[in-house]
Amino acid sequence: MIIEKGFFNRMKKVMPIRMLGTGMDLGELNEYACEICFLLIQNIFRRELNENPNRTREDMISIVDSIIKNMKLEASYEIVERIVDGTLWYREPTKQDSFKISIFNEDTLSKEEYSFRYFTIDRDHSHWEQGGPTVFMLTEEAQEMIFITREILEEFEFDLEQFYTLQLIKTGNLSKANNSIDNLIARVRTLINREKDYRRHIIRNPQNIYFDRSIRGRKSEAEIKEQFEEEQELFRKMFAWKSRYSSLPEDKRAEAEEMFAKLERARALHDSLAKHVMENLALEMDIRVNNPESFWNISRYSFKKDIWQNHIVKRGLNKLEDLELILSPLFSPKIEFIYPLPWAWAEQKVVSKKPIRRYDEDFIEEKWHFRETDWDLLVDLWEEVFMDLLYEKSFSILKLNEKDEIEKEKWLRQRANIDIFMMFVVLPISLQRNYKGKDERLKLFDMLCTKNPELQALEGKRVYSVLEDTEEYFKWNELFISPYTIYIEE
Amino acid sequence: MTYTSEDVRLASELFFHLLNNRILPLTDTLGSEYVENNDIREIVNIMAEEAGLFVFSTMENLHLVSEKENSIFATNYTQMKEKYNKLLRKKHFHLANIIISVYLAEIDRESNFSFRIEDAAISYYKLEELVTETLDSWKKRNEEENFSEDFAIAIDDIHHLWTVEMSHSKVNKDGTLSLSSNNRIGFINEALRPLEQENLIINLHSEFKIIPKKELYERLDYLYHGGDRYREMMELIKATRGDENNA
Repeated sequence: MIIEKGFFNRMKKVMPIRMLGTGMDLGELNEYACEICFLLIQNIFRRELNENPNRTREDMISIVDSIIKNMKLEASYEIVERIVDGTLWYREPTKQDSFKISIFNEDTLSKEEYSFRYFTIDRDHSHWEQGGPTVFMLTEEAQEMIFITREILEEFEFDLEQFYTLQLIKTGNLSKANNSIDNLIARVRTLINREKDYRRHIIRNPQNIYFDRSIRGRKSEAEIKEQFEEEQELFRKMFAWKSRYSSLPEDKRAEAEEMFAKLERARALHDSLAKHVMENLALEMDIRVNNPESFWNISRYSFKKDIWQNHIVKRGLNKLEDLELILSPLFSPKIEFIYPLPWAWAEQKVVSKKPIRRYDEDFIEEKWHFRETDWDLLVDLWEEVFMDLLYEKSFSILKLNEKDEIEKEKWLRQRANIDIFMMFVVLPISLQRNYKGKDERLKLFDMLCTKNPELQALEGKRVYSVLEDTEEYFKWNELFISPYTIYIEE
Repeated sequence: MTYTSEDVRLASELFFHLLNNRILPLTDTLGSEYVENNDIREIVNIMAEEAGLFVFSTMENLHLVSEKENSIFATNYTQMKEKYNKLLRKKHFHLANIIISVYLAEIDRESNFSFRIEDAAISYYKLEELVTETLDSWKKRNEEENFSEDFAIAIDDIHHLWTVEMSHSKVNKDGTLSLSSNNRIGFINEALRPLEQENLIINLHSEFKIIPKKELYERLDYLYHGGDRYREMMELIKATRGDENNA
């Protein structure tokens, strides 16, 4: 036996340590690179344990800056940045690549590429949708580094760590017990993250139920339940010691209280883990029972390999326009004509889905001509509004409250009828004829003038809107509009 | 096949609901009808087909997307195309298509087994490099291989546009990178905008990172990974060049 079984897997644990601080040039600080990077990882680990979300790249920069100062070293901002980027990514920071190394695999007798990172993205704390910066957390590889380098050189399973903590509490070794609880918390958080990832994986592809080997060592549900009960029992045993600490001297007692508070948090996290696991087991069962077909689809192609690399990149296309055919189904239809002014509507309330249905049925009866506005109807309805503008100088939406059911139905028949009113509310406009652009208000005005030449007197006038100060409002079943009045400026 | 008027009513309600929302979670009461009720699903599919659209469901969501060419609807993508057509910058549009494809190819997975989606994010710089590699390799092989004439000419143009007319990146006065479209990094931002508007990626300008979203993987999965869809796609782009047989 020259190369022992498991060599490859062992090397996978060695490489993150060996490569820490490599792949960057820090000039005079080169000899400290590994130490500074390790301290950075430890600091981020500490923040994770304390639920502190200040773990962005910017935060790392300030951490490294403090580390360097504490080590009585000096470094420029660029170097500090380089250290952070060099821990986040391998070599060229702009590419944000993983660390990569080939390791000899004793099974295949050849080199195999292994890639890893020290930090991964903490999805729960990164508020990307709001443009927030990425928050990082340790990868399991980096966590292992922290565990491996502990004073006690064992990587405990959760229950072993619990036993160990219990022993420390029994012997009154508070500071060590405190550390050990930190590890408990870290361990349980890792397990929770695994469950969360696993859930996403099996929802994305149910076949992961069979292929994801990282989860729970394939224990049966009964075994898992039993394990949780044992672990809960161990927590109870630890808490049983709480009463004995009341006899301790003042300063020791404070330390003990802090420790039990932390232990309480560990227990709460552990309960949450149990919940995640049980939910995932239920989900697995649900998929097996209700979506058995999701396991059948084995033959898989990919865009990456089959369409892009092996075909288009390799052989080119007939003409580049063909690419459009491939890409266009990625997109959903846009239907702005139903909500031309979503932001104006946002203020209003459409109380139920009913109005949409009403329109739908009309649309269907019209055999898909719903893209077009019925301008005759629009002109019909709006003549009255413009006559008011001409003679009274204003028109209030509240006036529509007086309409009878038949009139109401006409107004609600197409969205544009009311939308045009909202457009007047939102944007002042100067009325003009022979307009060629896209503003439907002017098109309407033009058509109205043709129908009723009297209205030509309004040409050149500007229409504004004002919100009336009244308790009254416009409300037709589902449609609610604030009491706006549009008026002509003299 | 006969449907009750209640079916038709529900189906059209669902269809327009979908039209408004583009993606509906299956937890939505209407959305779940699609999965559970065969009649409703059939009607909705017919309505979609008539409009040049199609509907598909995943474990979590219902998607409504545009069918290749015959949709009566505009999409974020057709709007980008129109914009470039208006500006007479057709090769820019082709370049944008190549960038989108390279991005998709990079984040796509051959097998969909466990991986963290957020780890699939790639940086602008990486994408820039990949696009350059792709164009370079086409350009290089343009001489030795018999690409179609159309394609060869277009590639020469686009290669020139990307490597000569555009600089790598441009720095603003305040030291930040410019996202204007006359440099490669900036143009990447522009090319991926339809995906961003479609809510399929998160374009994190501040970190020059493009993060794919679950919904993008759902679409990739459905559109390109299934055997039937794959064959359809290949049918569309099958080269009519003469070298089919001796390839």
